[in-house]
This record gives sequence, C-alpha cells and structure tokens, in this order.
Amino acid sequence: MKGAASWIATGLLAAVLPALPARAQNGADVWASYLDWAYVYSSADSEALSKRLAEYGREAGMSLESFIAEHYGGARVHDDAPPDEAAVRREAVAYLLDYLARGEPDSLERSVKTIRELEGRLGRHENHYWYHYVLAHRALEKGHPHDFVAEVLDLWLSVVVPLEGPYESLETLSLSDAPNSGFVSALPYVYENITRLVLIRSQQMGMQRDLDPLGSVVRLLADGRVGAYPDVIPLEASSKEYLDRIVTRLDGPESDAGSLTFTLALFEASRHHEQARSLLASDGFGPETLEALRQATGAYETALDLADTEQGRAAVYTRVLRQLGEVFAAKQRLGVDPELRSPFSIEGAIEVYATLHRALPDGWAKLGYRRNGPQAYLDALHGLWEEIQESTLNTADYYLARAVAEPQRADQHARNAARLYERYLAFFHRFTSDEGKKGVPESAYFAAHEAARGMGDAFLAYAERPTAAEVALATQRYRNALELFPFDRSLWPALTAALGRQGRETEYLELVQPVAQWVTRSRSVANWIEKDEPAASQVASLRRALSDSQVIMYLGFAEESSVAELESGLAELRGEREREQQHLAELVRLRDGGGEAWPASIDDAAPPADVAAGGVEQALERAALHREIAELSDRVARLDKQISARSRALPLYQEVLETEGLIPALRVQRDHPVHTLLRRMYHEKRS
Amino acid sequence: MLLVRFALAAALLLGCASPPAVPDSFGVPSAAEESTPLGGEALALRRRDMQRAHRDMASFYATLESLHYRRERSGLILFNRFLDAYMGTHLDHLLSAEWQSRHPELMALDANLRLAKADVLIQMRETRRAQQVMDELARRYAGRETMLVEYPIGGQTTLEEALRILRERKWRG
Repeated sequence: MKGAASWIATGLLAAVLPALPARAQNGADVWASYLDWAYVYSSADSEALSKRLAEYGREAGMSLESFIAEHYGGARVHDDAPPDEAAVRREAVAYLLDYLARGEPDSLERSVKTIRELEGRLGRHENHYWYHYVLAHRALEKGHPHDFVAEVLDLWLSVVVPLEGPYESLETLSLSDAPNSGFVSALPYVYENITRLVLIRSQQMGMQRDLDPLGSVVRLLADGRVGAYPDVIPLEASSKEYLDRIVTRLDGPESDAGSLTFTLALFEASRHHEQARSLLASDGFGPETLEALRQATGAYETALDLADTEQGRAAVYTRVLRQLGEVFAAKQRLGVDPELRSPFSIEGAIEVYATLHRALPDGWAKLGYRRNGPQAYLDALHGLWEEIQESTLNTADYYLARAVAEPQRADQHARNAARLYERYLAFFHRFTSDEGKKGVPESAYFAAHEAARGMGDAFLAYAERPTAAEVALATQRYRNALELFPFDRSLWPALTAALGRQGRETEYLELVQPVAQWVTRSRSVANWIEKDEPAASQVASLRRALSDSQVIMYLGFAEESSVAELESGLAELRGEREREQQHLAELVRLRDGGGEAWPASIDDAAPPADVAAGGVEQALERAALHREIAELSDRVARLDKQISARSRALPLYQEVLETEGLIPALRVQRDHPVHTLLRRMYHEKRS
Repeated sequence: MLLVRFALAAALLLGCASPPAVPDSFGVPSAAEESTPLGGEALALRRRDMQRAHRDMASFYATLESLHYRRERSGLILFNRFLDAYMGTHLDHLLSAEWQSRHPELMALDANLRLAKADVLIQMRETRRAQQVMDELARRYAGRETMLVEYPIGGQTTLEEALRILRERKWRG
C-alpha cells in the first residue's frame, strides 16, 4: 500500500509544486503560502511529505515544527471579534501536516480542535473541505469507520457537489486556474485527495470494515473525475490507474456483491501475493519471500473473513489456490521445503465450489453475481475449478519429485501424491453429471486424465513397494486415464507394464479393445475429423491406429525406441519370405521334373496315383515332397499375412508416435480446442 | 452532528449561509433563470449537470443495492441520510424547473433522471416518495408516454413501460 501511495504522491508533488506562487516575503509568509496550497500536496505519503515539508522549511528559514511552536504555541487570545478564518484554517492545516508527516496524534488533536473553531463559518468551501478532511483523518486515527464514512460523505456533499458545476463553467471558459477562481480550482485536487484518503490512507490506517457506503464515492471518482484534468494533475501523477483497478474489481466478478471493504482487502492481498511471487522468482524462499508469503496469506485470510457472499469467497479461494500452486511448483523447482503455514486448503475451496455449483442453473443471483450476470457466475465456477485442478496437480507433482529425490521415503511421497490425485478424481466425478457439467471447465477432462494417469504412475513408477491392492488400483486408473484421453500413447505400454507386474499381460487386449472400439465408433470424434476442427489430422491418425488391433498391440508392447527394430524385423520377414518362396519354387520344380501330372494348385495337392503301382520307397519320397510343399506353402501364406499386417500397422503406429505434441499443448493451454473434444467424448460415452 | 452539517450544506446552497467563495453567476440559478428555457452555455451546463447527476444516481443505486444485499444496517442508515441530503440540496433543485420537461434537448434527460430518482427511492424503501416522483412524471409527461427513456439504466423502453416496471418494483419492495 505504501508503494502505491508513494508513487502517486511523489508524482503529484513533482508535477504541481513548481506552480506554487512565490509571493512570500518572510518565513511566516512562506509557510502561510504553502499552507494555503496544502490541498495540493497533503495526501502524499509520510516520507514524501516529510521531505517536501523540510524543503519548505529550508525555504522559509524555519521548520514546520518551529513555525507551529512560534505562531501557535501559546494560548490564543479570545475576544468578541470573529476569528480570522484564514489564520485558523492555516493553523489547523499546519497541525494536520505535522501529524501526517510525523504521525504524532497530539498534532491531529490540535488540528481537530482548531478546525472546529470554523464550525460556524463553513459557508466557504475551503473551510468545509479542511473541516471534513481533518475530521476524517481523526476518524481513521481513532479507528471509527462510521465517523470516517460520514465525514467523507459530508465532504462530497458539501464541497464536491456544489463545486462541480462552477468548475465546469470555469473550465469551459478556460478560467479554472484564474487567480480569482478561489477554491473552485482546487476541485481536481479534492477528487485526488478523497481518492487517496479512501483507497490508500484508510488501508494504511488499518480500516478494514464498514467502508461499503463509500463504494458510491469511489465509483463517482472513477466516473470522469479523477484523471480527467491532466493539465492540472498529469495522469502519471494521479491515482487514476489505481482507482480504475479498484472500481473494476468492485463492479467485476471478483467482488463481494459490490463491497468496497472486501475489494480493498482482496486488492491488498493480491498486492502482497504479487510481491511474494516476484520475490519467489528472484530470491527463492529467502526470508523476505517467506515474510511476503505470510503477509499475503494473512491478507487473504482477512479478505475471506470479510466476504459475505459465495462470490467473494470464490474470489479469495481462486487467488489463494493460485498462490498455493505457485509455492508447490517453486518447492519442486528449488528442491527446498520451507516452513509455511496456511489456513486455506483445497478441501475448503471444494466446499466453496460445491456451494456455487448448487446454484446451477438459475440461482446465481443469490450468490452475489446479480450485477455481473450468469456468465460471470460461470466464469467464477470455472476459474475456481481450474485453480483447484492446477494446485492439486502441482502439489501432487511436488510429491512425486520428492519420491525421486528421497528414495527411502518414496512410498510415503507417492502415496501422498496418489491421495491428491484420487481427491481430484472424486471431485471430477461428483460434478460432471449431465446436469452439472455446465459448471465444469473444458480443461477439467484432460486434468482428470492426468490425475488418473498420475495415480497409476505414483504406485507403479514412483512407489518402491506398492501393495497388491495399490497395483491393482493403479492398473484400473491407467485404464480410466485411457478412457478419458485415449490418445496418450505412453499410457498403453504403461498399462501392459502394470499388467505384467501382476502376471496379467494376457488381459491387455481384453481391457483396451473396448476403449479402442469406442474411439473408432465415437460420433464426437467422427464429427471432429469431418469438420476439420483443430488437430483433426492428428485425431484422425489416432483413430485409424486404434481401429487396427496390430497397432494396439504395438502400442502396448512396443517402445518408441524400437520402431527401427520393428522396421528391420519387417525387412527380415520379407527376406525370410523370399527365401521360403525360392525354396518352394525349387521343390515344385523337383516335383514337376518327375513328369507326374501335378495338381493345378498346391492346396489341392494329393498323393500321386501310382503309389500302388510304383515302389513303396519312391512313393514315400513323393509323399514327403508333397507334404513339404504343402507346409512351405502354408508358411509362405502366413508370412504374407504377417508382412501385410505389419506393412499396414507400422506406418499407423509411426503416425501415432508423431502426435506427441498434443499432450504438452493440452497441459499448458487450458483453452486448447481439443479440450472441447475430450469433454464431448466423455459425455457421449456416459450417455 | 450529521444533520447539522446537512442543514449547513442546505443553508449554503439556498444562499442563507455566509457569502460563497465563488462568483454569483456560478451558484444556484435565480428564479428568473429557472422559469426561462436556457440557451447557449447555460443550457450546456444544465445538460452536463443533469447527465452527471444521472450517472451519479446509477452509482448510488449500485451501492444501495449492495448494502441491502449484504444487510449492512448501519451503512444503509448512513447512506440513506446522505442520499436524502443529496436529493434535497442538489437533485430536487436540478429537477424543479418545469420548462426542462418540455425542452427538446433536455426532456429525455429530465425523465431519465426522475426515473433514476424513483428507482433509488424504492431501493431506499421510500415508497411514498417514489410514488410522488412517478406521479410527477405522469403529470409532466402526460400525452408523451410513448417517449423512449433510458430505463432500467443501460436499457431503453417507453416511459409508459418504465412507469409500469417501477410500479411493480415498488410493490415488490
């Protein structure tokens, strides 16, 4: 918060102060002049303000403290004459500035006491402005939100509303900065100061409740007021960008039914989150990063406490899960496991999601989305789901990485990962009914595939000593993963390996053929290919491959590295066939060389008719020759079939291998078009 | 204290407080101005004032709706007071002149602003005052009910339909 205030304030000071009039004669005059213009710089943060006041002090030849002590130190002489308004106002402003620069509450009390002397003379807008401005600061100091809100609303009503028309008139006539325009010309600064008071100062002072009525003032400030006078306050020096971001949140889907208090709290939490993210990237889990992460978590907790609606709770969980996912990804990347606590859990997010989901299809308005509409509600549902999904996958990945790094605890880590995957799968199956699927994002189906696959891997590739039940479950999950995304080539051999561990290799075809057959019959897949949707050619290759049982066998039992071997095996087969064919031809010639009348075809070959007439020995030789020819013919025919099947299947298998790019693309792109196909396939299968 | 402040603000705007710090010509229009259709810059100024007030009313409505939704009782009390004062000291004055309901350049804005006021009053649970605004609309725009107005905010319908929706909303609470 200090950062935001600082850049805005410093910019404002640099931009406007050179315009201050140099009409002062002595130190007191210098201070009087600067105090009259204090609305220009008073909302700077304490550090920038202190520096600025020190500069004025040097110019005046006395510090503000000395000026206050010298001019306002003694008791004021009261007589019947009305007080000099300007003098009283300056005194109140001087004390306020001293309070804002040094944080001294006594100075604020003196400012309040002084400004109250003007209560009977509030007809002058300048008096009215400082009166409410000072009292608003006191309400912040005392931690009284009700009073703070009342002062700001009064300030709006008694200063801003009456000045707006006159300011516009002066501006139209290019007179807004004319010397005689009085406090009217201060209006752009008044807008700016109210913005900072409500959005920045209130948060610095820890006012985190009951600010909601000021949502209206914030919206008004963003509506063509702050930032609308760049010739007075340059855009880069104004708080417009900050204000716009707040209003976008206030009226956007991440709101809590329009609560300013919540919006400010969530914004503050996001700011801490961004800072933590940046430190995480530059310093890893250094002490500063850990502190920033703790602050972000604490700020998210505050925002969650303030949320009154499911809309607000969903907004907090969506962001906090993102942080959780980032932390686990960093832990995995950096190989460290720092001490971090968080009151947030994925279970908590699932509960919030379940509450949101119950409102389908028409109950969204009751959850806080009334002003945002049904699409914002659906976006929130999808957004929260995706964070649940990503943080689950990231966390599980982290445990798998630890299983590799710590082999002695591999079983424990693998089981942790498996539990996370299983929870996501339960979550997935709970909400992907035909009635509920609207609340599920398209990327959820591939993520379910990843979870099912991850669970199989956890037990079969990472755990050192999985139990028989775990192996059986992992095998089942591999098959589930195939059903969700049958185009994952690496899953097929993983399944055969899993079956092999249980001595069930022979069940492979029985298990996978229904999946393959379903893909080849799927209307969704056929339509996708027919309409030439994205990646249609890859999908078509995969479908062709799955329609061939030889390719399915290759998928299960051949590794990518053995394609060359498969090709050389085919070449060998062809060679063998050639050799056998030559041998057969020789035998046929031998037989035909006997001058016998041989059958027209080898298949019809029968013993010659002279067996009874000729010698038994010759007859036996002939019979053996006939048998050999018949056997060789069968063998050549079998080889032909094998060659034909392999010649057809190998290119298909190779095509499958070339579709590898699809999986990483689906993993990183939540909006990849093929997610839509997976969703359609899943629901088609269920129907 | 708050009421005192509002009273002071009202007194200021009605010209009963100490002399304003701005030139008279930029203050509250005189009776003569109110009774005469404006032209030139004065008309432009009135139009801008009314446009601004209309947008402001939309923001007030959004805030009221949020406060009601969240059942923030003390916030509602505070904000209702503010709105009462805003309407009393600013909006009612802006809507008081008869001529602007007949002025071709302002009549739609005038009607929109009255509709927005009625909407906010219904949201404030001030049904009697809302009815007064609706009656006033019906009186001022008698015979022109088919005129297109901006209601609900961001949408467009005839004045007749807008009044029907308002009546329904008023009874629904």
